[in-house]
Amino acid sequence: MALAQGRSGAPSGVSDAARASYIDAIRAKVRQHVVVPPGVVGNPEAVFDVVQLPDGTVVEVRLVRSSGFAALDVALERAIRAASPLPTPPDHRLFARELRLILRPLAQ
Amino acid sequence: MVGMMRTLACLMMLWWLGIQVAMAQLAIEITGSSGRQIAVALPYLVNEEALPQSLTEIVRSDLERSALFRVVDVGWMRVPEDLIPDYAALTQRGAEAVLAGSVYATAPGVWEARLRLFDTVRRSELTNRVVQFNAGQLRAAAHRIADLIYEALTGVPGYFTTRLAYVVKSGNRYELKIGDYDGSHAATALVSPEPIISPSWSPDGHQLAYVSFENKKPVVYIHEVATGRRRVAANFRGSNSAPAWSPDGRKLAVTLTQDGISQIYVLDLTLNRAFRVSRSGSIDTEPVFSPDGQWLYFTSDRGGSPQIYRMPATGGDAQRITFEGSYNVSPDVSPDGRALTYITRIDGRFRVVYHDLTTGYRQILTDSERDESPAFAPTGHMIVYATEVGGRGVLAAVSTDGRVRLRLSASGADVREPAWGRLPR
Repeated sequence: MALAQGRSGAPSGVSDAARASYIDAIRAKVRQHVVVPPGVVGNPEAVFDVVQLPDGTVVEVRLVRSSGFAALDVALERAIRAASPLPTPPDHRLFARELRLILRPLAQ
Repeated sequence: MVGMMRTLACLMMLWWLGIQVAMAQLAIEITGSSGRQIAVALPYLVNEEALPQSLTEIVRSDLERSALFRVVDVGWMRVPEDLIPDYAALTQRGAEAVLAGSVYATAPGVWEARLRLFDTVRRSELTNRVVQFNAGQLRAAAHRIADLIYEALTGVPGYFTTRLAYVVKSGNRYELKIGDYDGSHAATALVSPEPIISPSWSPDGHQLAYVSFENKKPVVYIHEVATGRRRVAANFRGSNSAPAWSPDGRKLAVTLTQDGISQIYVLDLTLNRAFRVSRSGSIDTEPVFSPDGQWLYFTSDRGGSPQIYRMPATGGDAQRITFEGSYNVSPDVSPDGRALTYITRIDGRFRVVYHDLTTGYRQILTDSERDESPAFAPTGHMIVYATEVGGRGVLAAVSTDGRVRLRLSASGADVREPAWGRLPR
């Protein structure tokens, strides 16, 4: 089953711009809480599955793929939880209960 | 026909639902970080006034100097460990974590700090600890508390309880000193009118090997830190230098010139015998064991220029490790064995390098003129080195990703030869 990349498959009637804006808001809020611990080198990537309530409250965070640095995985989970409640979209049809966050904190 | 249509309709419905379920999980890529520090509240402990010196102020200083933490001002708030903290008030001041605790007198001159570290965002306890100390152990206790907080919030062990050995030169006087991780509060282990170089900590932190020229030739000594007693480890004909402990503490790799040129030997400390392990017609020196004890990394000019090589610790063929640049010397291995640090010469400047052995990735961590003697902290994420500022030797530390820089205690004197060891348990 293909995962939506956040651009295709928008419910009809909702613009791509609105969807992009919702994603950017989540991105910005999570990024704001990411503090990279020492000793992390290269360009590591971690993947988390996140479950949120309609008001944005994060109720579940699950590590799907480790960055290769245990300390970084811990820091990224903290950041996701600290970003709760996540921003909610003005159009409720955009709301996604489940998120897959792909984090590359050392990338620009 | 109708049955088939119905099945088809069902399948299409399931497929459509399937797509809906798939699209319901929204994938978002997030790059970059806040570059921000972890905000922690460190109020004075309840009854801390009973102590001769503030514990909390040392903890605050340790964490702030690491550059990863920001200490949030909570005024005169006290947070005892046996109550739930006022999370709302703390998060309002921006704190993500708070150290709650009290100091109790358990015997004359002996105290106990009972501590709990809370996550103010998740509103849960991260860790708790009871730390006992007398007046003489107060600073060490504060460093242990800083380590606890550092590890709980970054996932990485703190370096605040490590010990730093180094040499101070003033005029014609050399002193080997041992102090806190930043070189402060150092006690003198040896004073000599002749140079002292290459201190090296034993793995258990109880002994220090070093080279002394007090007999007008380089001789390797082993010094027991707790008692100040020392013994000669290597005094062969010629020069004895560059001691490096094996991970099991039973052997010392050294460079000897007893066979004519600088070669690497392993000294068995129980048998008190030296075994030659390098066999080249060149200068082989500065050996260091890998953490599994199987390999020796060392500097050699057998290829025509000083480069870093690796050979089995029992001797055998050497493999070249460094290929960039014409001058790479003074290796040290990280505690997990995954990386090396060493000095490289670039455009006439000598700089500290971090070299990941698994990927070959190499990063220059400093932008100084003349760096020397890089050594990993026993926790692995910091590298201490000697550098020159205004013509004087000073000690500095840098994190392995180059982000955090620390200047270690500059007493104004000429400081060299740092070695970072574990606090003995």
